[in-house]
Amino acid sequence: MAGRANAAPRGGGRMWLLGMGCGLLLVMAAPVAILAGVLLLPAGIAWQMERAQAATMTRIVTTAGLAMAIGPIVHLWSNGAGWAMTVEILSDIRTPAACWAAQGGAWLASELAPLLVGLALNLLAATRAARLRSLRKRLEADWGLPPAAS
Amino acid sequence: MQTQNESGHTETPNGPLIGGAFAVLADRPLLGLGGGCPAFAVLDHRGGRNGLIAVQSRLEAPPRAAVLSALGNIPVEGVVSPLAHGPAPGPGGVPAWFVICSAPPGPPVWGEAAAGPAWREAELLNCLLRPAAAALERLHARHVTHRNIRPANLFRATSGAPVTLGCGWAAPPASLQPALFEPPYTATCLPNGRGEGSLADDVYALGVTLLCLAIGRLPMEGLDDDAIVRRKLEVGSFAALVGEERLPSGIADIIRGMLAEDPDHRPPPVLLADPAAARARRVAARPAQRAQVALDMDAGPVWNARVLAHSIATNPEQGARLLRSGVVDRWLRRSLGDSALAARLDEARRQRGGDTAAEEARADALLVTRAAAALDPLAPLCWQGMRLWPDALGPVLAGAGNDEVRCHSLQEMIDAEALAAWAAMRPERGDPLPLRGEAHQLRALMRAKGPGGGLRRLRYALNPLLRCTSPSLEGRMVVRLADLLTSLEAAAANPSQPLPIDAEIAAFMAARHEQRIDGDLALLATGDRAALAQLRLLAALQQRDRIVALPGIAAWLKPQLIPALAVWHSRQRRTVMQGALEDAGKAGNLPGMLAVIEDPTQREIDAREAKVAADGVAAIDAELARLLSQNAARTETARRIGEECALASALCCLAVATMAAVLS
Repeated sequence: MAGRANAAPRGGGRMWLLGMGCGLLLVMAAPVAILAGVLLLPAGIAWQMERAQAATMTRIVTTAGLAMAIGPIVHLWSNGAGWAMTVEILSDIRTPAACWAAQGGAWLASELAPLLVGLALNLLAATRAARLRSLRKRLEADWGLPPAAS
Repeated sequence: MQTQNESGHTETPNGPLIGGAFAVLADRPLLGLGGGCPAFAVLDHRGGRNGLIAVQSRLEAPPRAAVLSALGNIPVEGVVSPLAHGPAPGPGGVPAWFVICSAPPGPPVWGEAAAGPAWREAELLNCLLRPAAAALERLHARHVTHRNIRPANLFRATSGAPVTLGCGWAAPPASLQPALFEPPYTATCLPNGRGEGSLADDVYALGVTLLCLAIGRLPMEGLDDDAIVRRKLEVGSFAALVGEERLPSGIADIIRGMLAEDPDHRPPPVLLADPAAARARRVAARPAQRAQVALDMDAGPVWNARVLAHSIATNPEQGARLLRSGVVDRWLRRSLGDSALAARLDEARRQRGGDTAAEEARADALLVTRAAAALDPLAPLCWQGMRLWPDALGPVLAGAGNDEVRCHSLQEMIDAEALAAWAAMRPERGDPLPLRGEAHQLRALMRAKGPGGGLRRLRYALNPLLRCTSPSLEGRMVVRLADLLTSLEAAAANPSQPLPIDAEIAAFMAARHEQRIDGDLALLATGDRAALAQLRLLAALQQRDRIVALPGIAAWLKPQLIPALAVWHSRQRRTVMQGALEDAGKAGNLPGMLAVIEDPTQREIDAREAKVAADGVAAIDAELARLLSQNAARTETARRIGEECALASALCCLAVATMAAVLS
């Protein structure tokens, strides 16, 4: 999650490789890079904001963004990867909106899923504790044992 | 019609039969035949014998158990002999203890309060002295003394017939004898405290009887008991009793020997059977030394050491004061001229200790005891004004009953081992060592803690035929342990106390039981385990006496036993046991009730299962603590699982979208 206080700074080597990759993509296929950059803008923001070492939320958002962006990118590549096609694709607001919505949904899922799982786990633990307390009360009554200290 | 009751006694509509044969006809009293005790006619259901009497014992004066046991049911010729003894309804239906005896051959020679005509010398020798001496000799052969010889307890069929000695078994020895017929050292005692005595004491009583019949009246008439004793001590029994009477010389010589102060100087019965030999017997007895000046005491002037012993024994406060102040010492040295005796008294005075007030009183009492024994070695044990012979402690305790002052005094006497102190001062009259051992034993028995100890236990231990005086058994004659349960069962219909066994019954059981039951008796004093201890004692008795059912006692005990079921840990098992306890109680099966509560196998299983349950509860507590302490870890796990699930879902979507894009 973004803004974690104990997040470790990212490594310099990795950042350098990423920068080189992006630069190469811009030189070799600038329209594709621009399209991908626009469509995956929320993932980039998430990457910038998240300070956690594992960057799980960024990975989820990026993966979801890629899942929605892969279609337009393949379409652009299939049609020559020109600037006109890039503008045409981006002009259709539904394409970037769908990509961004998918990434937002992914962020929301990454936030909600731990809460839901935690709820389920707590429910299981409470059920077991209730069963144990009931068993204890029965043993107390049957054997005259002292009640549990409050 | 006869029936057998639960304890095996044969019963008639009028009550149980004594010895399985004799029914007491309480509505047919026989005056003057009981030797001082009430006597009644008897119906012999087995042998149909006539000529039997039942002599009733007083409650506080139990019969002579050892003598009844020694004589058994074998009659002694010339004596009204016991044949059986046991409980039966007395006058008014009140249960009492009776001694069944052969009936005397005729009326008593004299009535208790009336004198008769004087007998001639030949009649005295042939009809009284010879047959009575022979009877005493026969009793002596059975190691028994009579201790109840006087004209009112001698019987004969017709004038000129030999006398028969009456009953002397239904009361403590000599307890019914007037002081006149007893030597001064027993006459001075409490009625119950005169002890079994010796053959010489019977000879003395026979001598006084001989004198009475020779002169045709009671000598020393008009004097009270203390005056009689004092007079005998002052001038000697013979001089006191005969006085100025003119007696046939043969009779006088015999009586003089029979009334000798020292019992060792009296002729034995075998010698009395030959009056000529008895007459010829001369024992040189030194007359009592008389002082030049009398010692003034409250009871009167004292002229010799024996009277001094009697005076300080009857008035111990003044006696102790005079002993402590040295007045007695000076009188003995200057007036009586007996410095050896004075030295012995001085030794007794040096033994006196005591710092506190209680110890002072005890030290004074011991000083008087020692001094009296030193002054008169023939005198009985004296303690705080009481005089008794050591072997009569049992009857004295029985006679004390609920008299708190007397009981306290006796308790102090036993606690101070006065018996040992007394014996140590008169070694010439008996080995002090056995008496010292007895004194130790009595004190240990009395000091036994709990309901089964103390003076109560001693009272029952020393009186084998004393009835239990528990308020629960009021109106019932419980003398033997075998009678206890049936009487308690009857009392259970209207219980007067929460539990059947009270302190009196506990002491009775402790004294009568063949086995040591002190452990269970000690538990009677513990509040929570008392009911269980009572059940244990009563169940053992029920088994011992083979009594089938005691539902009354079971119902009496049951409410107090419910808390005892708490020893069972399992509630379910406890409920089952309570049911079983109810069932055994309804059946009156005390051992069954005890088995329910104290089943060792089930108790072991219960304890084992209780431990398993306790371990289970501990495991539950640990698990609950673990669940509570894992909240943070669970949150972290939930976060990790949630994120991984979301990532996996996104990866699946990416894979599908990639496939779709490549294939389109």
